[in-house]
Amino acid sequence: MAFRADKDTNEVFELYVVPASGGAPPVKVSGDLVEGGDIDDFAWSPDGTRLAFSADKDVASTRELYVTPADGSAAP
Amino acid sequence: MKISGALVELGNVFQFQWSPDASRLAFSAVKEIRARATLYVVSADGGEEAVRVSGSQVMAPNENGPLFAWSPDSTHVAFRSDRQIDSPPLPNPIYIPDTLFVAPADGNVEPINVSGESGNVGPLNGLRIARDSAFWPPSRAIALFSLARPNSM
Repeated sequence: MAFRADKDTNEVFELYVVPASGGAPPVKVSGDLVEGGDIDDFAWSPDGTRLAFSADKDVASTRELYVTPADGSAAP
Repeated sequence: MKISGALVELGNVFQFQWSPDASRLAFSAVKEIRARATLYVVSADGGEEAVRVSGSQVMAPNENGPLFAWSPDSTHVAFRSDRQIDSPPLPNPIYIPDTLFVAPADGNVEPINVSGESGNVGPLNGLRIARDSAFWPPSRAIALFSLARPNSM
């Protein structure tokens, strides 16, 4: 499952994936964010392999659209 | 991988949806023209520029629900518009009735008004394309859309 959380930095919401059965720590899949950046929204691909998310990731206060592998194997 | 491409100054991506076949995403954004939200389709694999599929139409706002919907076969998108791109900017835009349009996902033709010239189409909450949509030419398209409450589907 995927979730947004300020898990690593207070008030900076990033995107994580974790097995629904537990047993492994969450993997951050949103990569680095610009200072002041946040994940805004996300959606699983219908085949469950990727996540799309909108974020001000590269430019503060500008939401853009990204796709990333759900296993965190590549940077978005 | 960023797939929304370059945005105009003060641009933003608003909503996005995967195509049912997981090959593409549709997204609404102020991308090319300031203060004009339009609809784009882009390959989920990147490598191709996003294609504007809303043609000369501007997306109607709906902060509490979806702005557009895919056909089940991932070939078309439906969206609601309330004005054209060349409408004067705020505070004096020229609005049209809220109208439902259908466009091929490859953006190769101007979207088609399927709801007619009169009345306003309500928010697209619960919009479903009723069945697979081998439905071009557009004279057949209107029969393929249904507006229903989500809990009635």
